[in-house]
Amino acid sequence: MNIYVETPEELGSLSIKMLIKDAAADLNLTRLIDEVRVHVTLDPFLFYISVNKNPAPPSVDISDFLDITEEDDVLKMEITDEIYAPYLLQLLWDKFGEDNVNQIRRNLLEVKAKKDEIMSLPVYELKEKEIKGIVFDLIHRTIPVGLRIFHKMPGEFAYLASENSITKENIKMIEEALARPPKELTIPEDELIPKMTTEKK
Amino acid sequence: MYENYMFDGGSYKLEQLIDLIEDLGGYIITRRIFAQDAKVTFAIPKEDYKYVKECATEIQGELKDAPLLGTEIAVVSPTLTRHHLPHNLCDIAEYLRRQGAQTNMLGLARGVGRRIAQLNQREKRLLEEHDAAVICLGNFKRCIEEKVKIFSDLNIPLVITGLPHIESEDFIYVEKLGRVPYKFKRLGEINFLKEVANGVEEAIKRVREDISVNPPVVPPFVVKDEINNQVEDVKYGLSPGVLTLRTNGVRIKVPYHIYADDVANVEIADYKLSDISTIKQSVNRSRILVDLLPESLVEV
Repeated sequence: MNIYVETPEELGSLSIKMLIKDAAADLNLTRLIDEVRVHVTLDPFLFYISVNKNPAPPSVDISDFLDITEEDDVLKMEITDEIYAPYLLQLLWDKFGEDNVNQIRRNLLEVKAKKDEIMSLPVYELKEKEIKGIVFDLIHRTIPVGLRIFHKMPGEFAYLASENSITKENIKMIEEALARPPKELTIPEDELIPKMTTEKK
Repeated sequence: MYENYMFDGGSYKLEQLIDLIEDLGGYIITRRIFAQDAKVTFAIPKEDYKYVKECATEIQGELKDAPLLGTEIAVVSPTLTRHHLPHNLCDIAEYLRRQGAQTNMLGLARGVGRRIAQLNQREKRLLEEHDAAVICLGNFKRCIEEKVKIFSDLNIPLVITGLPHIESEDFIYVEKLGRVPYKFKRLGEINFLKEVANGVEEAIKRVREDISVNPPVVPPFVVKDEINNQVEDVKYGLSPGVLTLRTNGVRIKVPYHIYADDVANVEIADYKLSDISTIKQSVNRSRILVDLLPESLVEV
């Protein structure tokens, strides 16, 4: 994961970089994100952030988290990975109706449907939805809470935030800055990590 | 001159230490006994320290300085959102408590942003009830310099934390402690907390020096003892630390409209408490605040 942060104060840039790193690690996003770019101007106060997802997210098949056994006209399905349970239930309800989906236990379902229909459910979207939610969480954790006015910038996850109203000039200014390749920070990360000093007795 | 200390040790033979402190004219401020462990905070005359030290060693406990004992410190966050809380603010509050302070955490309603940051009158009055405030700000010099202006009206000492280096004569500033998204976990980070505690200690020292020029008739811990003895219902209060010491008074966590008269009639030496202090209603949940008057203002 590459993180590029440009602000007028280099120490501030480093701290935002470390903040994103910590938040991404906290959300288990480090492998799913390819690049994060942040550009901050203090006059006017604008905060731009864009997140590029990794183009190859791990592929998931429905058989990875579902054991299906056919009994008469009913399918018995055991959910082996509970992360998918809430999404899957909603998906089944939407497709087959609540009357045809019977949840016997927490992870055991009975559905009146054919196996092929279940196997063709769009599981990839489930994962995408989940990833999107987490990426938005990362963005909201990074943008200072005082910047409440958002403007959607080109790109899937790209936003410009400010505490004042965002004008066309502001957008143009940011776009010009983003056209340049991002600069690397000159301060090492150790600068913010405190060193233990022993006290003299 | 009284000094504050903290005893940490076993509860076996603790009464020996308590008796000695009382015999020396000291005051027990808190006494907490959990099974075999005991923690006692107390104030004793400075010159009697060696006797108490001997006694503490004899019962296999240890004595620590508690420079912030008898103070009430506000730890202020710009908001209550996850951007600012809990993280390092809880660490700061916890470390100050270990130094003997009573801490209250306060999240501002509109403390966010640079231009839009505000401190309303209620928050201002609430903060001014404390002996000092630790205000935790962010990562950019420009933003911090503008944001501290909203706190400039406060008439209590301020310790402000932030990432960049800033020089100011109006407040004590602790650098390299900006917006952090985790609780402190690295070994060296304890130094930040020590720096904040040192800053608060310095601020409190200044407050105490100001008070010592014209001190109250009786010290706050005497007032606390007397209120505890004479206002029966205080003993049954459910709030944590019903009687909280401040550098120049006491906060009593019982409703003002019910107990204000009882507190005013507490007798200390030859005075009523209302003669030697101002008793007012706190902004915080209508509790009672007792501010001791300086000796020169008390009618003989």
